[in-house]
Amino acid sequence: MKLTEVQIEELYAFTRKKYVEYYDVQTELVDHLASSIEEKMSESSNINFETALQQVYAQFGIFGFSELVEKKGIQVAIKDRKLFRKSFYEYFKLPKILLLVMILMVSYKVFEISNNDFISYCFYTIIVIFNVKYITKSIRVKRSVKEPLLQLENIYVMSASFGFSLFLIFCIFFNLSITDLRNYYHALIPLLFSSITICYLAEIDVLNKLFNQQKRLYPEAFK
Amino acid sequence: MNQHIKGSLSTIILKLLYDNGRMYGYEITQKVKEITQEDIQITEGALYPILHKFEAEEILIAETEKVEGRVRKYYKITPKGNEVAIDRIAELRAFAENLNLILNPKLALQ
Repeated sequence: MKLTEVQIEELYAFTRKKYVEYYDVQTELVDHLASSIEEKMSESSNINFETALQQVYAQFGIFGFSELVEKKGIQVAIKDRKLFRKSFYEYFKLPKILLLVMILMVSYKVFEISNNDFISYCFYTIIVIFNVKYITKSIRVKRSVKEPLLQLENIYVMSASFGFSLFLIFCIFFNLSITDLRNYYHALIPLLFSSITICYLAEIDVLNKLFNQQKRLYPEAFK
Repeated sequence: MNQHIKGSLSTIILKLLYDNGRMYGYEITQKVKEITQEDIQITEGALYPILHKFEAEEILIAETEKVEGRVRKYYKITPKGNEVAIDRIAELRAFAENLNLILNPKLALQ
């Protein structure tokens, strides 16, 4: 016995009632609940949709769906970090390494002849620009989504730009200057500059990958 | 029975996906029940975290399809996951053989 479209909608409403707010998680649960309910109703004609639903839900244990959502949240964060690492390391392989070498050489040459104030402003400027651009892109991605997706939930907090912003605030708060690094090793400044730049480029790659992947999996969740 | 399955559950799932190509969550639970004649039952709370973990580790890749008026999420093994699956199945098989020798010492003497 196959469930009707109305019953499928009822299952989506049921998952929402049980505090599953993400469409990607809801969809997988709805298919599982529906398949199991269909089997129960086929085995016994005495059982109705509501009773079968309660029986199937009971199989998820005392925590219901919450444990499942919590564990998926952990895996989503792991996946984000893994994707970031992968994209970051791509800048150490051909062809992207050519871009890294170029950034490194140009920043080395520019910072060699620059005074400390100019270098500090360069860092503040790129961190602010990268943050603004990343936030704008994240907002655009989030606005294109009709239903919330767990995979796209923490796209900003997980980003490296967020980490660099904290670093910047820390430096300002404790009156530390990035140019102090010059006293230790001359190449540290261009190295830091290049790292920040490729971190930003890598996280933009991750955002694009996640967006395309989620759109392929759940086209109906997008506008 | 189920307490002995805990450590092997992820390999059991990989073996099923390795043999059957792509599968969805409910199908995996039913397949295990069918093969073991209901001796082993995978709970939903144990199955999905493993599938999501493998997906995050790129051992599995997901694809969706509209089936019977609803969206169904299928999992299949990636090329990288294939190697992991072969290794883990071989490990579990060796473990099962050793376990058999421990449980039936006479077999070891033959």
